[in-house]
Amino acid sequence: MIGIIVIAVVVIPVVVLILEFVLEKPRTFRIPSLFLGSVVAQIVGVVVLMALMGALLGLLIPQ
Amino acid sequence: MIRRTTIDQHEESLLKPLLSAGKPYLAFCAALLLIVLWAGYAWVLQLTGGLGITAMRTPVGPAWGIYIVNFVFFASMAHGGMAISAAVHLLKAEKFKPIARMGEVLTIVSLAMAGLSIIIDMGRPDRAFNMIRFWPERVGTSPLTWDVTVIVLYLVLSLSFLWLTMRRDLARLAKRFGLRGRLYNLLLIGYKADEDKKVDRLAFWLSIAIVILIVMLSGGVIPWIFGLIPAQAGWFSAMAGPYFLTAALASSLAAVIVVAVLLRKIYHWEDYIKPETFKSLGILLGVITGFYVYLTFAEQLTANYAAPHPELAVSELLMTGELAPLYWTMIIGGFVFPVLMLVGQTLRPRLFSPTRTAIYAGVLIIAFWLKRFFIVIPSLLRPLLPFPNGSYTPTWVEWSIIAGTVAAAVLLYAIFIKVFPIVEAHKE
Repeated sequence: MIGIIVIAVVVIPVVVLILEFVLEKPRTFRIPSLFLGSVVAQIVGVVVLMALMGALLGLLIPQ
Repeated sequence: MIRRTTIDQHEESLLKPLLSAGKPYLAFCAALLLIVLWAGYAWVLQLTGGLGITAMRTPVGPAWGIYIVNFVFFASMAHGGMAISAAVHLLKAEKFKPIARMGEVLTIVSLAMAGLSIIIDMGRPDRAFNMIRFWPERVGTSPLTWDVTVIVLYLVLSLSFLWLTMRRDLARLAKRFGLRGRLYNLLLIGYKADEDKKVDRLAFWLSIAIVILIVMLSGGVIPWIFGLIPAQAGWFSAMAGPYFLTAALASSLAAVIVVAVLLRKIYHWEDYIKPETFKSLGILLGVITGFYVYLTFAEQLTANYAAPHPELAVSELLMTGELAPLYWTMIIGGFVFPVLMLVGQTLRPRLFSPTRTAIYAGVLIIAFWLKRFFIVIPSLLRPLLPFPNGSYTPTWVEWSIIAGTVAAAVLLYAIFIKVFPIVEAHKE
């Protein structure tokens, strides 16, 4: 429940931001797309880095 | 024509860090790199030998040591910079604009070191990926999972914020630099000259999200790691949220002041960053830290007046026990003295100078690191369960790794200012 609230309060300003770009005339999606692309790329990067780090450290730590 | 020349000179002055890297800079970076390598060696010993190489023990002694102190410290340090940047975008506080990016970079470096401190604290960091694997099951109940979630979100939003707001400077500089120009061009993907106003609006809304994250991270999830544990005397408190948030704002403001004064002095940006900026920040720092001293007094009064015995035992360790000399030095020399000096600068303006403000801020940074030590460790030395009292003296491995994280933070910052413009080079 708290997890949903945590994500929701951060997502609200981001949604408002995107809506503002969607509703304006002439419509432009470039900046919000860049922003969302950056967020998604970084989250994927974090996940991949954590997996890589786990694999590499697993070689070093005695099992 | 004269105006154009003045603007060019202004930009040249702000680009000083990008234009040269002298011997002192290279020697400084080499020294930092040596410390980082030494810390890496210590960490390898810890990974191969196990956490027994540290002074962390359980059940007699602290299960958490200075790695967790370092985590809380760095996570807190991440807030001042983004708070200042948010103030620039939300409240149009133009006075702080010259130091906004310095603060944003401080946020990113501090968050990276906070995450690293947690990984170093783990006995089996190769299992860190389990935090992501089991995230959906844990996010409802685990404060540690909330921590990972909010820190990753904060880091991602801060990096996106920095990237988008820096693009207008990169666009102006891309042609000027060779290798760095290629990196700038990569970061300028999809750039159009008309995007600046749209980016400003994006920055406004993003600032709102980031301000919420600041409150949630240091006023919520980090203090809840401690404040929600009734089995640990000294931690279980509804006051933990505001207490940690106040400390986070003060220590991070102090860090921004120190960084900004240092860069201003090294690159002679006296005309660009006015003394008034530091005067305002210094007063704000003094007031927030003064409030923190009051919260510390309220906490100790509650623990001493009629509290249950375990609470009293933890408080006695600080007030009159083996930690008392360091604790009272921190309170008087580390908090009360700088607060009086910072507030005194308002009453007697001739006492004010940016350098003095930076010195008091530097003292506060050390005091806030110690305060995190006094929050994390004493409670673990006085267990509620019937185990003997413990003691804790960090080993050389722990100190080496802590020194390595601090050196890595400074090194990352030093590299950033040589690769990217640390101040907004464009003139409105």
